[in-house]
Amino acid sequence: MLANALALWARLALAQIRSQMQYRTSFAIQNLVMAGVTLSDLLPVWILSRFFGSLDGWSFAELALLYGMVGTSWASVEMALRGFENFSIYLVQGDLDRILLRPRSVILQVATRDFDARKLSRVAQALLVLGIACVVLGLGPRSLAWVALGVVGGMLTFAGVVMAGAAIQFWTLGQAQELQNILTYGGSAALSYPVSVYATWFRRVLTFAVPLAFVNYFPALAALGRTQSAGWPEFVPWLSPFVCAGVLVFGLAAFARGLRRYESTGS
Amino acid sequence: MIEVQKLEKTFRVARHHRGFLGSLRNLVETDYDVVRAVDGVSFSIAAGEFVGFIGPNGAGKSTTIKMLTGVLEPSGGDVRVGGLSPRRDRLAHTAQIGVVFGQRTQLWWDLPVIESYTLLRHVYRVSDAAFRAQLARLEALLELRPLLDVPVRKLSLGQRMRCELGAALLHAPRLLFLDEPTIGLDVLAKEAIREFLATENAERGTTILLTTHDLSDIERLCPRMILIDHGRVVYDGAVEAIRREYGSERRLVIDFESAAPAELPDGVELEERASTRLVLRFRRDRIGAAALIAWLGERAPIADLSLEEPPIERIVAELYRRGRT
Repeated sequence: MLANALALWARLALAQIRSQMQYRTSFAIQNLVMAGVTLSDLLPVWILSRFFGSLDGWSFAELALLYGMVGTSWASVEMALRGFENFSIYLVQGDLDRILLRPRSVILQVATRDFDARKLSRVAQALLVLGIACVVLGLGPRSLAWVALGVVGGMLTFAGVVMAGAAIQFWTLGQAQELQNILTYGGSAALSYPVSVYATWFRRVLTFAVPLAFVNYFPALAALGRTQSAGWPEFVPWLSPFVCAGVLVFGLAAFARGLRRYESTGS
Repeated sequence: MIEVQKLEKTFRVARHHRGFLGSLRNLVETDYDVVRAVDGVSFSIAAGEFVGFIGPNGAGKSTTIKMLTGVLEPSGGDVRVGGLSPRRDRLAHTAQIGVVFGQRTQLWWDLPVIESYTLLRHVYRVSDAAFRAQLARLEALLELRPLLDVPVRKLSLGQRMRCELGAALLHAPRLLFLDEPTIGLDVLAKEAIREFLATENAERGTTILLTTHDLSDIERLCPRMILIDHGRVVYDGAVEAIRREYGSERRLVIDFESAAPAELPDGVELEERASTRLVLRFRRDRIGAAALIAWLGERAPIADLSLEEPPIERIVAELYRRGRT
């Protein structure tokens, strides 16, 4: 059942890639531009750490670790679940009806509908930064495990966030796409810096309200062996997988709820 | 195959206040108007039937179709399709139906048609053998062979519609919903689609529910039609019978060998008069065609005549008008 669903997911995703490859030159150029643009994200981090020597005690390599972790998670979710970001369009233009007319999971179909292969270069770029950061910092196996946990947790979290964002569209009838973008693009940009640099209220938001801090900040603290020196109890990074899975469950539940609402209200 | 009982669908539509102050009120007040899109529709369709489902825009047609196909949940009443509840059993239900929206494609726009078909085979979990057999059949009937390797965006509308029908039938559904399948097509393309639908219904016994504004589709294909307006069934019966029941006004063009008679019997209206020709309108319930012709024949020798039944468009327009008053 799950294997069949995953096979279909891959087929539908590949179909999107083949569609995009129909326009070869444009595909290549967009990939290059995308990689360039995202690499330039790292520039202010580098400038800041050059200027101040470090940022709240984080060296440039450590900052690159944070950036690589959140970048890898977010870019892969953006690539694989792109349909949830465009969901308001499906809702307004009636594509959702066609999805409901097919004997397959709605989530599976929405996820692959706009699978964006052009994001592949972003995933590659973030992974590269992450890899270099790990090597430069000389992370041991235990630390690498924490990094991996953070990346996977980040995927779950961002998946949950885009689904919850899509769910909101059921109530706002596709008029609140920006809200989703604040959480996803805004969240991933905010997480390129250690959460500790922000004002207290914003730190609290990122820890408790929209728990994005669990995506990279806490796992990175654990990977660098700095949890306690950052003023957190040793068990906090261990909460990461649970919090991240919780966000995903919340997103799935919100989307399912919205879908039921759609089916009973139409339009 | 389809059992619909007292089906209802109500929507809450936010009431909009006009003007600047009105838009402020819209923010704080949530006033709703309840719109009854479908208001107690009942009908049943047996397996193998070919039914035309018509009604003016906004009559509740699409809402009914959406409930039959499982996209929307009814607010009241009961729907069963092939023994299943379309929404509660969505996965099983959508596997047994095929749906074509004339205005929207279900094919992958940038990919060759055959790739869409292969994807749909996996979406519907059709076995390879069954897929090949069905594709061979559809290829022959819809003349798909030259189209299969063409990207969908390069197909003409008529070609695309043939491919859409193929796509909707790949999983060999027992029931086919068609929404405006001939919209915007030229005469030849229309005829090809109709031909195919007639064959599909006759040979495989596929139950077909056809929604269209082109009543010649209905006349050509459907023995039965359901006419819906204001969320209610206005007419449900044989397409032929609707002429007898509602097409009461007929038209007679008659040429005489000498001067046409000056007077006319009661209940006959004069549309046009020339020296030896009369064009008359008369109502079936007032006077029969035979009686009228005999009456005229007694007064002047008849050279030629033609009797016209009202076109179905006019009957249906008349029914819509009655519904509004």
